[in-house]
Amino acid sequence: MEPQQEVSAAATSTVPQDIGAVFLKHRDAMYGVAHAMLRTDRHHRAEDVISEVMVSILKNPPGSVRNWESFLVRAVQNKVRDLWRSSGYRHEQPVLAEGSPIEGDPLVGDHVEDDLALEVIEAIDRQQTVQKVREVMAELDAWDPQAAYVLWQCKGLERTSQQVADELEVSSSRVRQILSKALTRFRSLLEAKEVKL
Amino acid sequence: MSEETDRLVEQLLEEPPGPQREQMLARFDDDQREKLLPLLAAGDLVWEAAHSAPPLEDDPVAALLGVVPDPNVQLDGKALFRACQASRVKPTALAARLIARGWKVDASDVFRWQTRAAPDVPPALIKAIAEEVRIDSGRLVSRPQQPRTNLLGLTKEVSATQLFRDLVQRFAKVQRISVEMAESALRQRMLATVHRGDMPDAEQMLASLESLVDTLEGGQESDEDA
Repeated sequence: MEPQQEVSAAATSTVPQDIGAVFLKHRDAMYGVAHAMLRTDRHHRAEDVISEVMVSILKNPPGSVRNWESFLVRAVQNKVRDLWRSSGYRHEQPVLAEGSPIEGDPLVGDHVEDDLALEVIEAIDRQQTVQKVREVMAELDAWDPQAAYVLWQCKGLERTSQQVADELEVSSSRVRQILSKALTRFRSLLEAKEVKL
Repeated sequence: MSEETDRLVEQLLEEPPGPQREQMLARFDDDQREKLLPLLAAGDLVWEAAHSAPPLEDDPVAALLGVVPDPNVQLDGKALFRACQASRVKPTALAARLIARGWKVDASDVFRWQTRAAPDVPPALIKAIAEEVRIDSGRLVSRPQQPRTNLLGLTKEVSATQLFRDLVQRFAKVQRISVEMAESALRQRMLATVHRGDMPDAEQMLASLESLVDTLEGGQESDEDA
C-alpha cells in the first residue's frame, strides 16, 4: 500500500514540504511507533520498516498532506501490518480488531476510517507521553541515580537483573528490589505530570 | 504483603510483556493486579523511551534523504552570500521560504551560514537553499581542503568502483540532485549501515545500493508511463 493511499485526502499548504525536512521533524515518532509495534516481533526491524516507507514516498511523493506527522505514523502502522500479513506473523497484542481492512478492501467503512484515525492520534499521543518519560527519568536520576540506572537497564534495555547485578556487584535480588522501588517512584512522578497509566 | 508475594512482584516487574507476564499476573488477586498494572505500564513506557530513533549519523534513512551533515559536502558561505545578493533574497526571506518547506531554521542561521563555516547544514538543505536562491546546488558546495580520513576502508573500496559511480549518476538523475549530493547520500547510507552494526562486504553494499536505485527508478518509470 502506498503511503498516499493510507491517509485520506486533505487540504494542504501551498508550499510542498521537503521530504528530508519532514522526516527530520517526525522520525522520532516514526521510529517510536515502529519499535512499539514490533516489540514482540523478532522477524522485522524498525529501521527496515522506516526505510521502506520513505523509499515508497520518494518513489511517489504525495501530492497533498495536511498533517505530515499523522501521514507518516499511519504509513508506518500500515507498513508493519502489511509485513505481518505477508509473513503470516501473529502479533500478541493486535492493535486493530481482527476485522481490520486489508489493502484494496472495498468494504472499508467510515467507522474503520474513524478507528484508523483514532489509532494514529493515540500513537502520536503515546509518543508525546514518551517525551515526558524522558523528563521523568531525569527527575528520577536526581532523586536516586542508582534506581534510575537500574530502571533504565532492566526495563529500557531489557537486561536481566542478573546482568545488572554482575555489573553493580550486588545480588540479583537486590537489583529486583531496587527496580521495584524505582518503578513505584517513577509511577508517582509520571502521575504528577498527569500521565495516565 | 508476605515475603513470597514481594518476591513474586519483583519477578513480575522484571518480566517483559508477553504470555509469561500474563501468566504471572494471573496469580495475583484483583486488588493486587489493580496496583501492579500501572507499574507494568510505567515499565513499558521506559522501554518505549529507550527505543526511539537512532542517532542521526547512524540512521540509514536519514542518510538516504541527505539530512545527515557530510564533511565532504559543506555549504560555501561566500557562495551563498553572493547567490543571495544576485537573486535579491534576504536572509529573513530565505529563512521564511525554508521554513515553509519544512526546515527548522531562522534568519540568524542564514546569517551564520554566510559568515562562518556551516558544517551542520546537510546536503538536502543545501539543495533547498540552492533552489530558493536559484543556483545550481553544486555551486554552493565547498570541498574541504583535507579529505576526510576516517572513512571506513570498506566504503572507500566501494566508492572507488565503477558500479558505485554509475549508481551515483543514476541516483542523481532519479532524485534530480547534483552528482555530489547523490554521492554523499549513497556514501552516508553505506556509513550508516556500518555504524548500525551490519558489516556487509563490498559486493553486498553495492547490491543493496543498486536495489535501492532500481526501486526508485521503477517508481519514476511508472510515473512517466502514467
